[in-house]
Amino acid sequence: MDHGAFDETKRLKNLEDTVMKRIVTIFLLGMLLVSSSLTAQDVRLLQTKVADILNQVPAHDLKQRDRVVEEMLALGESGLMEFTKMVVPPGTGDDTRVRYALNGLALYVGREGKDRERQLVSGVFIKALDQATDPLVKSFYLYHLKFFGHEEVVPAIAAYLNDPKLCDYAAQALVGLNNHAAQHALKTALAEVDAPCKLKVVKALGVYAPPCAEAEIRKLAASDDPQMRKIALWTLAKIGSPESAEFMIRTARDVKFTTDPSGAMRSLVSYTDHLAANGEINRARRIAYMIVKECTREDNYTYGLSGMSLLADHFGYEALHVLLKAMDDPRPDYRAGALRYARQINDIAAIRQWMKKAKESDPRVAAEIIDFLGEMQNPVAIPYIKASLKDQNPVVRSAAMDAYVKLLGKKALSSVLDFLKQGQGAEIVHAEQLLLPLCGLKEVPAIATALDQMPDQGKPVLIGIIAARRATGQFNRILALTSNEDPEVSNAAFKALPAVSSREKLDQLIQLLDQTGEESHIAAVQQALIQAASGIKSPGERSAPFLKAYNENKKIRPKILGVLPRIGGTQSLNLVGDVFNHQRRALKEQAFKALTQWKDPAAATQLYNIVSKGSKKYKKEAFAAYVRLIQKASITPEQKLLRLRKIMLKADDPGMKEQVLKALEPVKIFPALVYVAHFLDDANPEVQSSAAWTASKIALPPSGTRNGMYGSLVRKILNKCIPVISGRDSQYAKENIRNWLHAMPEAEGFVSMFNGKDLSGWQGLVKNPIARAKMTPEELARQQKEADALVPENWSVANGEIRFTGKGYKNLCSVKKYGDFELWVDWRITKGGDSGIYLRGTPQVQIWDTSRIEVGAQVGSGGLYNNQKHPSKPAKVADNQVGEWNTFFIRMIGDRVTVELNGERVVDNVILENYWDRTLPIFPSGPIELQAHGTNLAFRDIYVKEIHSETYNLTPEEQADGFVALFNGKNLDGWVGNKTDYSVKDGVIVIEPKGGGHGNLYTEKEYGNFAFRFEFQLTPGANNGIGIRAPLKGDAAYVGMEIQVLDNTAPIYAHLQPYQYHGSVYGVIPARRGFLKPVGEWNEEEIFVRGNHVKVTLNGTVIVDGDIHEASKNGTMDHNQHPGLKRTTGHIGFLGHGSVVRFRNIRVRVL
Amino acid sequence: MQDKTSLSRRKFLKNTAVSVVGLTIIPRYVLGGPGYTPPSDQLTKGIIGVGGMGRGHFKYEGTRLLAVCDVDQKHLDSALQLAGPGVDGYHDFRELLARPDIDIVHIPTPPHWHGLISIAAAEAGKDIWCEKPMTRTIGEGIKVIEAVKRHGRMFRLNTWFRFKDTFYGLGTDVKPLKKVIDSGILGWPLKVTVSGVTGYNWKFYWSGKKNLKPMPVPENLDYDFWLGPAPYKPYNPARVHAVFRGYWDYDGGGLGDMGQHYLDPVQYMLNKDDTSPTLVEVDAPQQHPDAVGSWRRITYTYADGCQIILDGENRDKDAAYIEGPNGKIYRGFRSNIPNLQSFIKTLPDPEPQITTFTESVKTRKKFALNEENGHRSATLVNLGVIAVRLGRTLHYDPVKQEFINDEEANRMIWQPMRGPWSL
Repeated sequence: MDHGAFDETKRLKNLEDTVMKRIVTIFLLGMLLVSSSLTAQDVRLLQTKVADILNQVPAHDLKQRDRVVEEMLALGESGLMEFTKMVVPPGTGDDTRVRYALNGLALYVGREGKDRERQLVSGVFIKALDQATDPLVKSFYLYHLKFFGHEEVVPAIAAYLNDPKLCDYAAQALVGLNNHAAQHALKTALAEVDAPCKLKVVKALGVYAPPCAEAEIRKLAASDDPQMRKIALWTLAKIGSPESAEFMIRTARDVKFTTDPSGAMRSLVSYTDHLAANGEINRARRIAYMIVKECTREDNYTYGLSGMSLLADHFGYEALHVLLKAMDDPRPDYRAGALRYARQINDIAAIRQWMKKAKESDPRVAAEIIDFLGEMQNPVAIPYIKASLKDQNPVVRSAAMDAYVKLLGKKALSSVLDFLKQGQGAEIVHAEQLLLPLCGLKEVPAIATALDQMPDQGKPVLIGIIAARRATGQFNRILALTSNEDPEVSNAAFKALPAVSSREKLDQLIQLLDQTGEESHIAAVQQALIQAASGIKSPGERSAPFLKAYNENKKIRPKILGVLPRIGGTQSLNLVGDVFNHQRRALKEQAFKALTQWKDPAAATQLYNIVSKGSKKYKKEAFAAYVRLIQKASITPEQKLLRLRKIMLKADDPGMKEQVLKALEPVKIFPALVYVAHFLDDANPEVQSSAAWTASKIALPPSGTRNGMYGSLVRKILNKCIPVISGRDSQYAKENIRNWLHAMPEAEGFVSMFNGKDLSGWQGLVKNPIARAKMTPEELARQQKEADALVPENWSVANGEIRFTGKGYKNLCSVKKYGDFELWVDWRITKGGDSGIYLRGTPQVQIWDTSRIEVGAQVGSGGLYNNQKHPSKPAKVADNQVGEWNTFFIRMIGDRVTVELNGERVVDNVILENYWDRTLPIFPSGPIELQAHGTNLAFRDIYVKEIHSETYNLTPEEQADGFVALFNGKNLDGWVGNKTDYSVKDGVIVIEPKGGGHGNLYTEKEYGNFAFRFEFQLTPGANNGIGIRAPLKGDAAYVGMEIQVLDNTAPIYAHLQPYQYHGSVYGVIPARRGFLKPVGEWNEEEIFVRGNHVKVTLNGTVIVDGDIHEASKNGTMDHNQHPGLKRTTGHIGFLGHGSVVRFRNIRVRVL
Repeated sequence: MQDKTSLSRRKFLKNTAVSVVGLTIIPRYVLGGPGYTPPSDQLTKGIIGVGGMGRGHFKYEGTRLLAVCDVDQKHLDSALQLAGPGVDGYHDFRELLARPDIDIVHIPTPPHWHGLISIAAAEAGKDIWCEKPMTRTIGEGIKVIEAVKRHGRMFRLNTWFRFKDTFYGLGTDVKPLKKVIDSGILGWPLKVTVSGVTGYNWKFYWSGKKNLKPMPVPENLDYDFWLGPAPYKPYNPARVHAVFRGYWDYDGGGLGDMGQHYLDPVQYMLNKDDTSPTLVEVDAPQQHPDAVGSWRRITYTYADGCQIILDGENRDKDAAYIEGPNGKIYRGFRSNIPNLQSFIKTLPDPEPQITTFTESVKTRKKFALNEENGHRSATLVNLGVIAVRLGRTLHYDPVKQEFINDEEANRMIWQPMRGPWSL
């Protein structure tokens, strides 16, 4: 480029800069005054498009990313330039979205077959590169260009090769481009650029290794700057031309063929490699030999290895003598290197030479060669290896055995057995390692035969093999060996017993148990018994022989106690409990050990008693065993929490508390979180940290989801966790907590109804809701005051519990009224107890002592007691013993109630009837009441979450994304139109056309651009549709648009047009077929509408993705007028066509 | 810094190998015993990178620590304190490598340094203990293999699930799985799903902060050296210690962090130690050019139809973990094949492997997880990273180790380094 042209470019650039700045200013103004008409029409349009696109990044998936990129590309060069102008130097503003967008663009055009688009984007990036003033912004473009650019971007990049701030980025980019033009540009630049950049250019050139720059680089390789010398030598090595040979050798000789800062040896090795690759075989050979010869000293012998490796790589068999000679070297890694390179030369002649070498070498080297021969798997070596099996030297024999097995596989088995027979010490261990991969169950008979003939020192190995293969057929043989005179053999036989035992052998084993005295042997027989008994399913049947033995034989008792925890069964447990309580010393200890090892939660009660009443001696261990049992028990999370809370009261050191907290980690229910949070204030920092770990595990979403716990309480707890969480990986945990705090929905979530200290928020009961409604405010206030005055007589707060100890039926009522809600509450009753939870001032979710059969309490608590038409009894008994705590989870939506008692669903979405006036439905809202019924009661941990219909059934993820519910699950509030054919049943909108009535149900509000999600269930032949941007009158398919909802499979629709099938924009854009679920199953659909773009996703597959303007500009497919396509907003509706269809989970996000 | 006595110690070590014939090369079947360390020839090590991960390398058994190196003076100081007397500190790893008395070099640096330092260590005649992921690019891995071979070195990658410890959600180590797969009872090809169910945890959601403000570099940190071959970007604490995995320039997020732990054993079980998938598909949100984002699913398919699925969002709650045409193995090592457990026990063991690195160093036999199979499992990680970054399906040639018809992806195999660093 001549200087004149350069100036001209610069001038133009300045001019452009000025213009661009002005445009940017205008643009910014436009952003500020969105609705202003200051800017010209077309500019505003472009910038709206840019803003629209940026709003869509980062795209949720890669398909969408490509779509967004296609929108970008459609804006052409000037449009794309708008994006580039928004990239700013780091720290001067937030350009995150635009960096996403431009990255997406660069990746999109880099793929195969996008040449036209790539050229457009190359041009834009180059222009942006030149227009940017900040070097870090420029580097952003250089970074991207190196991944997608082709020849055309070279000159623009090369222009920065002499810019000290950018030459490295430019050089990297030119390396990345990997094309001839880039290489040429680097070569040209080499002579022109100044010192700091020269290094980068030489380095970049090294990657291309162009021969013609060699002389220039050789000069640099003699430079005083060691850095430059190093890079230049490396580059010369890559070029690998014969002209540099003398120079490279001299340089290496100058540093005595050893490591130095200029890396002369490294370069010489690499040079030789390239030289050979370039066909300069003779020269390369000469240098490689020289390297091997010169590099044997302590400070350079690894280069000697390189020399050998070069020879093996390029000259194969010819290099063999060098490798053979290397075996005389004293250094093991040198010899191992030679053998490694020798693997490249797998021909018979070479193998013969190696065998010859092995014979001449000392045993250690011979062993190495034999090992190598084994790996080569060349059968020529078999006779030699076979002979070596009998070598005098044990190292050679072992290596030969290895190699023999490698060569012959299972055929080597009898040789290995011989080897074992004659072996001593290490050889025996080695034989075992060889046998395990050779022997499956099929080989066991051969092993068993060999076992009989084996000298004692080899027997344990074979016994071990039989055990490893679980050869139960060999039980008698192993049993016999338990009484072998050689202790090694009998030990091995005992150890093997469990593996070969089965239920038929129980009696033999019990007999053996009785006769066995040594500790380790007893343990082995006990294991064998457990293994044998595990074949019996019923615990009673399983334990019978053991209990029998216990009763018949005093001597065997302690041994039997050791087995019982793994045998289980009620009788066993009772026996162990009795022994613990009534026996002394040894037997008592045995029984205690058995209790702590018990496998099923039945032992929890006994352990709890030991913890709370037993001596200090047993407490700690019993505590740990209890926690372990509960942790592993298959009971509901609610039960786990209750039981762990109970034992926590007995914890008297931080370690015990930590055990409980750890055990609560998988208990992912809200009450567990608030319970654990108490320990964030513990005096001990370890306990605090444990509590924080557990709290975060409970509250945070499982990986990959966003369904974690949320709400103000959760937020408070998690914030408290961050400073106290410690230990391994805690930085991850903290980061994860912060991420969730950032992502969680803003909703209130569960809040406490009870502060643990007093009865704030609660008041006395005045009559009933109907009576109260009839009172004047003054009258109500007066009566309320009277009722409140009575509260302290009956209700009190102690120990974090609300207690009723009074008489009569004075309920405790929440001051606040609740409509739809979820409620957690713990309750405890006393003998003969009776209570309940009133919902919206109405009785009740029943609580009672299940032993009161006379009133029918045996059905359990949790039922909707006063229901007459709808079920009043709970589905099952889930109560804990009277005197223990219970947990209710109650959900009330509309008139329907769900109750879970201790984690079991006892009432499932049942209508609560209005007890006060049975002709009325339940009140829309009212207080939550704790019922008093004359017996002592306690309540604790009362948390309520109010459900507002706008978040009905939304996932936290959808809430975070801004979705709102259009259907509250109860009624058609928010909907207009045909409310007779459309009705709400069981939380679902159902259309049941009475007498073939058609009719549409529309949202009250209008929507323009939105994502509309819903679920629907078709009946055979069903036809419905979703009206979009529709007016309330007229045929929505034409005056708005209609997204078809249809059972495609029905025979009556066999001859439809493509644009009539399910999901189609009716008459305009056809949908893909085949993604509906079978009729009767629920389908999920999203209709995404933005401007002219309509996308329909059915059950996760996009079935329509089109532009209504494009699709209709030459007339629509159905040749009808669709004036509705021009509408920009309107109602969303269900368009009835006379068949039964159900809809639920209806939600929308405005875009 | 060089110590004459230790210099000669190394020489002594090598010489003893000559003088006591047949004893100094200790066959692995002798070494295998518990806690067996011949006191006379304990190997020595140096650790390069002694931040969070590097501390863990102090305790790896069988070697004596002689030197530590870090470009953060704070890390170096506290590491020296932890190490106690007799351990030297270095700022520049090349000086540590120049010490002739060090046998093994540990490389728990951030991944963008693994390749360069491994190659330099091989050249310096050191055996290498490298952290996962083995290398940040496929190209670097190819070069590491070349250097390790050329200089006759031993290499171990620091993940171990193929030969030790419970393999995540399966509740077993790999050995019985390998046995059952080798037995053919599940049929072929196999599909392996790794998901939250199998312990594939939230670390996969490592994501970098975007729009970082330039901040002054702390005095204790040589940031330019820390960056090394990575492109220069202004300092911000979010880029460096403990959180660098959130940036493509240094690692690949959770996939880089934990991917090789999960993928390597699978590769071993499927007998894919010498090959790579031919197809990589990805489901992910759009990625930022600098900061790593999350992804939902990566599917690898091999030429023979075997598949590995990384189910990042745990969509397959009940998925079979290993699934073949004739049977499945679920979480907790359950199976739809009756009595699978007892069946497995009747099968022969897999080939034995060398699983202590000191044994490998002394016998010069390859470690169970070495530069070659390690490179193939790191390739799985890197294929995933490239597919996520590019956001498209990739076709890979496992023999040539390059993508088919995708120049842009191939440029990610061989990424240019910042001068003067080069492969």
